[in-house]
Amino acid sequence: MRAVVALVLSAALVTPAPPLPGRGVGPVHQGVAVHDGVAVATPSADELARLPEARYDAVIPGLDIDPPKRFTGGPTMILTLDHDVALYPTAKDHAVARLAARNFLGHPTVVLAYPPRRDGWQLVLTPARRQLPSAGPGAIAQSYGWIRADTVPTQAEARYRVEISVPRGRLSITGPGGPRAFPADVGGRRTPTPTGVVGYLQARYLDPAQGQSSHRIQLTSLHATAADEPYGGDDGGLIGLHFGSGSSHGCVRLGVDAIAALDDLPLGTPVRIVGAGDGE
Amino acid sequence: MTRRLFATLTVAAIALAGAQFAPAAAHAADAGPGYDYRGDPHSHLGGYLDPDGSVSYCIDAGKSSPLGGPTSDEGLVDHVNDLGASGMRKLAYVLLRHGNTRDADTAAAVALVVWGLADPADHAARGGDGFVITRAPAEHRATILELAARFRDEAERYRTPEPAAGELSLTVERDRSHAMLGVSVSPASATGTVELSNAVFADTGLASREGVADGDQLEIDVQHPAGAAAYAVRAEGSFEAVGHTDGTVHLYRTPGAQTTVSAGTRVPMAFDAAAAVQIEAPKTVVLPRVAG
Repeated sequence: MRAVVALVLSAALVTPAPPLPGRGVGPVHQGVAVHDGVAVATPSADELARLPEARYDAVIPGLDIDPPKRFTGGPTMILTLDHDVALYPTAKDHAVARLAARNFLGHPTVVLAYPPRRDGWQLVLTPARRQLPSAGPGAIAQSYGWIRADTVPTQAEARYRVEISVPRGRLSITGPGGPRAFPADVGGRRTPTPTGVVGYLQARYLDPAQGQSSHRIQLTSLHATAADEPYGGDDGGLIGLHFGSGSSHGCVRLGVDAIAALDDLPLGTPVRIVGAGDGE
Repeated sequence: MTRRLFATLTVAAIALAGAQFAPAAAHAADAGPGYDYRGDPHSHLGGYLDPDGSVSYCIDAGKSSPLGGPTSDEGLVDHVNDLGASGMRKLAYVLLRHGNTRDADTAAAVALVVWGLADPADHAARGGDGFVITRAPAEHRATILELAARFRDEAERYRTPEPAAGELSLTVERDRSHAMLGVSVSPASATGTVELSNAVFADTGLASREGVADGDQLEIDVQHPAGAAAYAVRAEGSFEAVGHTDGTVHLYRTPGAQTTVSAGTRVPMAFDAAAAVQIEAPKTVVLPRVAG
């Protein structure tokens, strides 16, 4: 009987997710940007609107899954959008997605990015996935895309860092005012919290439907890598930092003090999760 | 239809039309509101009752009373005695605004004003207001004279108003659930009824409101139609102001006696005004469920 259950679970895990909006949208070309001295197509407003939105529950194969190795500096720039922005893959030959001006709460979208390069391109962390874990090896917790830096004039240096040590069960905040640390519970053995990755705080909200009526869920840009939806649903295996305790499905469970401290951080603040192999 | 039937109907139609537009048959004038000097109805200060219930007034100072005589309805006229356009406008205004009254003091005052306007020379020759007022009881004379002075002042200042018109405005608040209805109408005395679509008045919860007037600022609660991504909130108003005169009066003649006039045509001052604003329904926020 146990073997049958295991088989059923396995089948469920590898079943491809239903198609998401934006899948199958081809590259668009209009306007001009420059990459390595070569003109790069940029989408018109209409074409931009038709691109898939890189939101928290999207899967966009054209996005990058890892920053270039030579791009060694960390993501430190917090970008606040006031209009939709095209996202390009490393090749930058066509736009593959867009960051919407407003997020699911109707607030201006905030993302984290690396500092702009001299050629005007800037690598940003996106809220979307590039690949589902069920699609095979290669799914990681954070996706990336390139934007033209001059399309997002509102950029600020991140002043705080959040780091979560899975082995130590600890969340640390560094920045003005000195470091602070709080106990943190992380994912269990079957649904581990992804490690070795940097994301950012993308939104915070109360949701009584998730048992969070008093302490706001701190939604990160990170996604589970052990399963498409470790806790069911179809929201993208989102990694949240929220009130609670005990082994989780990948989220980071925290006490009241930690949530209050996170509440004070700007959206876009980098969130790094480290595991045993990350110098811990 | 047979030729005979057609002819019969035609004759009937002509007869009906004639009844409508031709002067009515003679009738006997009845005493109306006002005062009789020492109980004599032939020394009357006030109006006379017409067959249609309106009140008419003498325009021939010094002539015999029309009471009892065969009075004929001459219909609407735009000229009486030697009155010019300005005088006719004043006369028509006073009759339309104040003539149809059952109040004795008011009717007596209108009679003085009408004599003064329509037959000023004879009225003055017979002592004017100061003499005719003696037909009224002493305790009413001051009131009558005050009313007459007011009516004369109104008539002097009366001008044909601009066509009635108005505007409604809708301002939707940021939350898209509340709005403000502004009302601007001319003449300012106009009032009306406003019907809302996809909204109700905040204080009553109703989509309709009567007595809406110039300068009103009314709070509105928007009602989002279920399932509609976008829709219009509309306010449609029907307003009306007291009508104005077209310068005509209704003439009655009594051979050998006073000619009388009553109010002429009232030009309606009604108009519609509307406003609409397109609203996008608030998007339902779907909160992402975290892995837990």
